[in-house]
Amino acid sequence: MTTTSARWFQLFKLKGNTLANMKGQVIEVVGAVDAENRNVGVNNAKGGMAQEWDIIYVDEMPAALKIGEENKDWGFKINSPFYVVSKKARGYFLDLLGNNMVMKTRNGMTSQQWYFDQKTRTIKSVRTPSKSWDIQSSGKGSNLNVYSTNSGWW
Amino acid sequence: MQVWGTNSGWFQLYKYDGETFFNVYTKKVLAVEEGKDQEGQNVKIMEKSDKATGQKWKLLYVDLADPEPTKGLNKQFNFMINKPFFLVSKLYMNRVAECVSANDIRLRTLARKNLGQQFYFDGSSKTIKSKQWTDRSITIQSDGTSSNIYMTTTNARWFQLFKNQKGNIVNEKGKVIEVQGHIDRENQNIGILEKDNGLYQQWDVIYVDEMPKELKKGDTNTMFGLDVERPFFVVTTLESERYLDLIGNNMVLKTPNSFPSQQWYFDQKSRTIKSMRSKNMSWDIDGASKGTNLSVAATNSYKGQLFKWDGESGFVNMYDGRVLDILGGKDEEGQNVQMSKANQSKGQKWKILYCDKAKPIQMKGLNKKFGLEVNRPFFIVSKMWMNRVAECVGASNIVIKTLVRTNKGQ
Repeated sequence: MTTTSARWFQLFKLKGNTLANMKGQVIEVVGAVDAENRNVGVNNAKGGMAQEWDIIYVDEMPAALKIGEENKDWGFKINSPFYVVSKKARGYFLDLLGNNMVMKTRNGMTSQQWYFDQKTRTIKSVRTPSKSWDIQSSGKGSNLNVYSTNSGWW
Repeated sequence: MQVWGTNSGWFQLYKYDGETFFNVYTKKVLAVEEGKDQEGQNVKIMEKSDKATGQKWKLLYVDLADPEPTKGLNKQFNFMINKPFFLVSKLYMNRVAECVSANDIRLRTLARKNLGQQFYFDGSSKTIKSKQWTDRSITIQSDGTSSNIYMTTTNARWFQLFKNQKGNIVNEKGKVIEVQGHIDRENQNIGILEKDNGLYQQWDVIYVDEMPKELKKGDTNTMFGLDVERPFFVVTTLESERYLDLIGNNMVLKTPNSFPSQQWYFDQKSRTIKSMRSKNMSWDIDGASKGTNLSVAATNSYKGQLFKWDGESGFVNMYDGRVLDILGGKDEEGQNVQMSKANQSKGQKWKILYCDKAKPIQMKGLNKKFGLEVNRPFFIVSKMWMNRVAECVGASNIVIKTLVRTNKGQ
């Protein structure tokens, strides 16, 4: 942001889901990293979510979802604890051993209960609300556990 | 012939016979040399000849002569007698001749009450006199041999006689009064030269009581095709209908933005088109009008600063006929505007939109060109999974952050 000069490098149009300037460059999240305080820059248009935006007028911004309401994008009700039940014959419940995810018989423990946290968009453990489902090694592994919430894609 | 101290010698004794003056002793007569009927022609004493012309004279007693007319048109010189006038140059600034310090004659901006700028045709001497210094007349310097004119004591010699002839002020010898160096600037000297009939040799004799009033704000200057001091936009006829604008002092094409850098007005005093952003600056062709680029520069009313609006041809330089032209005809933001020969291309076609007739700037609703609602606050919401929004941090950098509805930085 700088003093208004109305020069070409201050002129942006809403073009589809992009904000494009007169030279065809678009606004993007630098490095396509969806992280708090990530810088926003401009680059040649190449598609991808990092270059896509919604313009939502302040008076039309939907109210924040409340507890119990469904986040349709994600398919969960907000902060509503749920079990994750295998569809295999024995119907085991998703559970935690330490921080590792396993299949276990239903046992009434909070380690088998989960909820979708709207703020972080993660699935958290009722047992340990500071932790969320997490693909090990920042998404490079294949094992699933719970880990401190960071809203990384993994 | 000459006059000499009276001694009544035979060579001083002449009789008049009703047609000729002849010497009592030699019978020779007073005759115009070579019979030439022209101003300043020498008069001699010659043998009388019936074939010779220029030997016959009329004797007109002063008390019987018709009085010299003191008003009305002198048809020979084409001036009204004793009626003060301005000598107005046809150069585009329409400056007038002014007698400066009872001597020089220079080109200056009209000051109606300045008697140094007022001249009159003297019915007696047939010279052009100064209203301020009435004993002086316009004179070709050095007894007519110079290319300069000045004001000096009236002697009615040929180098003080001028006719008003079809826009020229012509001397007996055919030379015409002109702005020296052909430069239309304040205090430029005025001289005399062979006629080539450039604008710098053309003048209007406008009698003081007939001098049109100065154009006022809102009046149209028909020569320049523009209304005086009435701000306007200059709009390309290319599809974008962008406006002529300034980046620094350079002229470019830009999207309308309500900045004064997109507003112009015709200044009657300087005859230039000035910027509302910088009122001491006018349109100016670079390189003292020899270049091609167009910018604004300190007002000087020289050749490179005089433009007329001709709806058909756009903006035309008064001197070289070149027109305002969008470089390459490209309809792009910030595209340079320059001077080119007229070629009728669309990049040379403009519209003038007087600001008082322009639609007001859109204050609400959808701006179709930009796809955004005017003056309606919005969030820019990333489509990445977290749906963070763009936030201006520290009045400078832009980052994505979690939505906080009350944060105006978002």
